[in-house]
Amino acid sequence: MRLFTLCVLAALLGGCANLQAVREFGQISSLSAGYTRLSDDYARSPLINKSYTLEAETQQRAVLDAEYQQRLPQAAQLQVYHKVVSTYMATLAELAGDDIPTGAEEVDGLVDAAAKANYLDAASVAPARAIGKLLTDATLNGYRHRELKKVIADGNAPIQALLASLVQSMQEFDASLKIERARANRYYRSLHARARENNREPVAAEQAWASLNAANALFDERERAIPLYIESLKRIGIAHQALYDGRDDIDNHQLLADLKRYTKQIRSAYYAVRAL
Amino acid sequence: MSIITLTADDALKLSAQFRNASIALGDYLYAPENWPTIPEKERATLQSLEVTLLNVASDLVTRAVGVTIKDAEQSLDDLVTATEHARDVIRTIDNVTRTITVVTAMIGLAGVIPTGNAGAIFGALKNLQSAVKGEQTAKAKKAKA
Repeated sequence: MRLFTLCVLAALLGGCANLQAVREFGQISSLSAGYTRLSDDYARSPLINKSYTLEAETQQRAVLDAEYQQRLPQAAQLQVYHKVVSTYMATLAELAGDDIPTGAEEVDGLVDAAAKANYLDAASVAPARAIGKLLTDATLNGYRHRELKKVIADGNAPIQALLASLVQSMQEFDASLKIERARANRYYRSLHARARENNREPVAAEQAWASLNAANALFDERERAIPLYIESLKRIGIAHQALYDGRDDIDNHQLLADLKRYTKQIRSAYYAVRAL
Repeated sequence: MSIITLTADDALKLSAQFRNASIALGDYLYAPENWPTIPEKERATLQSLEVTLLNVASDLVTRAVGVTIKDAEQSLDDLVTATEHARDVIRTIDNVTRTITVVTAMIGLAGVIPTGNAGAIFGALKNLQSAVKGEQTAKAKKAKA
């Protein structure tokens, strides 16, 4: 009898350990997908670029103001992507811990409002709505661990689509950041050339040169963050696909070992981005 | 004739060409051996073109994704190749006036891509190819002389 009790306890603990792998994957993925600094930087880039204009370039500042206005809807779209993916992953973690999902019901309303305001492109409306509805169902119907498989099954296609949209957005941000660097370089090189001409203002030339180098060192760091973040998003997609493929045998040792490995990679990439 | 729909990757590729052209122009303009020799008026023109190239590069990232070019007489590769050649010409500047012609033609092309107007894009592409060829021919003649 005592042995039987120990076996049952061990099985239960084993089950908990398995769920813990899914829970940890959901938790770190939620944090990573909810990280918005890079997206915020993308939207604000035209405003930053205004500081890299010469005093006489009034028209150029107006161009950058207009570009900022064009990016505002994109910024709103990115916020929706981050929120939907992050909340979905948090819900996975809660279900894996046999908790009732919390905070998921607001996503449906957010997606609806963004779609009505035309902030979402055509390819993203359906997947965002699908996740919103799934999360509302999970909250209203008090989903628990037993519904984890259903959520993974219904959520895989739309979450993959949204992750792909986020990755694409990050690639656009990478291009935008490189343009920001080029604008900063143009600005400081122009000051440097003018100050150095005929040794007109040697101190100002040195200051412009130092500013150029300092700016480039910062751009080096910011540019390193983007591929790391893209890697983190891609790993979330791969891990979720693995969960989807193995959803009928979610206790499978190989699947859980793979999931732990992906979780470690996502955590490592996310912390590296945060550190930059 | 074909229909071209610019994907996000296409737009990023074209954007990079215009950004690199701007950087090449700046490399020439601000080089210590060039800056003092370039008259103020031409400096201002080159600086204006330099920033316009960056504007169109940025515009391609922000606006060009999903643009459809109906009845296109050129492929996307034609656009990329023409901008690559233009960038190469800018990298080896030896005549400011002709370089201004090439960069202006480049900007003309970038300006019409987001409109999706096939005729305008084809015209701008031909104009750029002609400007690049003119500069290449002039350099070849100079090398022979």
